[in-house]
Amino acid sequence: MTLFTLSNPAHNPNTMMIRYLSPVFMAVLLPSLLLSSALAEQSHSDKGKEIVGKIKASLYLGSDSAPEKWAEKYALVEKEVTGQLRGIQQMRFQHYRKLGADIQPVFRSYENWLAPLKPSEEILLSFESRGRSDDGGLRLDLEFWQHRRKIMQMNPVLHADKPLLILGPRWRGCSLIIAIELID
Amino acid sequence: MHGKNSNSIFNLKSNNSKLKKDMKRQHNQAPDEAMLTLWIDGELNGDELARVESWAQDHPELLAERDAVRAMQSNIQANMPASVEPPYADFFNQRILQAIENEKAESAASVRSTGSQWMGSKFNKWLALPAAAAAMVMCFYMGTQVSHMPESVAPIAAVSAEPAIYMPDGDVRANIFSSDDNGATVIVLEGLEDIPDDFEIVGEPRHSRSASSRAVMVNTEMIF
Repeated sequence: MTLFTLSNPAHNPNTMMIRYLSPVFMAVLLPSLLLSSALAEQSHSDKGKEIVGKIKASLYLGSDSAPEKWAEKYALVEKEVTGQLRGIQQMRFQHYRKLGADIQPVFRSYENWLAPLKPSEEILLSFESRGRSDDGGLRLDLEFWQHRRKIMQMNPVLHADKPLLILGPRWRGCSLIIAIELID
Repeated sequence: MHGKNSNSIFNLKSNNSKLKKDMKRQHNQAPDEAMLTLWIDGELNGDELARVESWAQDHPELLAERDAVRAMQSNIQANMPASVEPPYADFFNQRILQAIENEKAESAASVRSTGSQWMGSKFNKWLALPAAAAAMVMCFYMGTQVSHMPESVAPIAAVSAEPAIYMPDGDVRANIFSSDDNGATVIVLEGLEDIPDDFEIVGEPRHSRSASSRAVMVNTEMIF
């Protein structure tokens, strides 16, 4: 009889332990295991692709002489921008034209490029986030490329409504102005 | 005596034919992959080279492959410089030094944070089990809070007010200042070459502006 009891799986200590512990396992341990695996998976997703801001680059042409025929096809510049540019002595011109603009997201840890003359690659800006500054600005590593040659590298802090203006090379008697602004 | 001699001759003949058979088998035996790779790379010599060459005579496809690989090697050697100077070498070095400094700071921080690791050695198996269970329960609790977590934001970094500017081309200078009117940061680049008038900068990309302009875009950015 004793032999029967010991060999009966229902009275086996291991079986009994599993039977008593299984509700605990199902109620607490299993969900926590599933959750921790889900959290682990979430942490493995690429956070570097997260968008932490959006920036815009506009390319303007400034000239004191009346625009020639080739320049007439380009759009006039908004009054607000014209006023802003005329407020800076080195960028004060009689006439402005807009050659192009590009808006790109800023990724948390990936480099991205702005091509305001798209599809032309004559003027390019590469940028990478370096996090937010304590006053809410976006800190960047920014490179200015002209004709596939790196001209300048800097680490500005961009703020909304406070653009970064670069007076670039001259072309056809006009000056190129690159405006980079944080729009989001 | 005569019988003994004829026996020795027989043994000699037998050994000789065995040796010949071995040699023939060895000749016909395909070399292994490592040997073939060495042969293709031209790194075999002596008997090994002779054996593989002899074997390969019956495998024209391998001879063709070897010739193609060697042609490619000589083509690469003819067109690739033995060493390349990094573009903007001073900037490159500066970034390396910066990375080393960052690495040092990070390792110092990790040493501080692992100072309490001795406690781990005190855990015995009896303590580890309840601790693991408690951790799992904690995970479960955190899991229930996931939907209430605030949206993640970019980390905040302390920044110096004045941005640092690096000009790879020594002939180009940058004059930086803040505009009083609108708070814009203004950079005036001086010493830049004018873009040729006949070059259309808007439109389809055309990279060969002039015969002398053969610049190549090389990103020296390092991933830290």
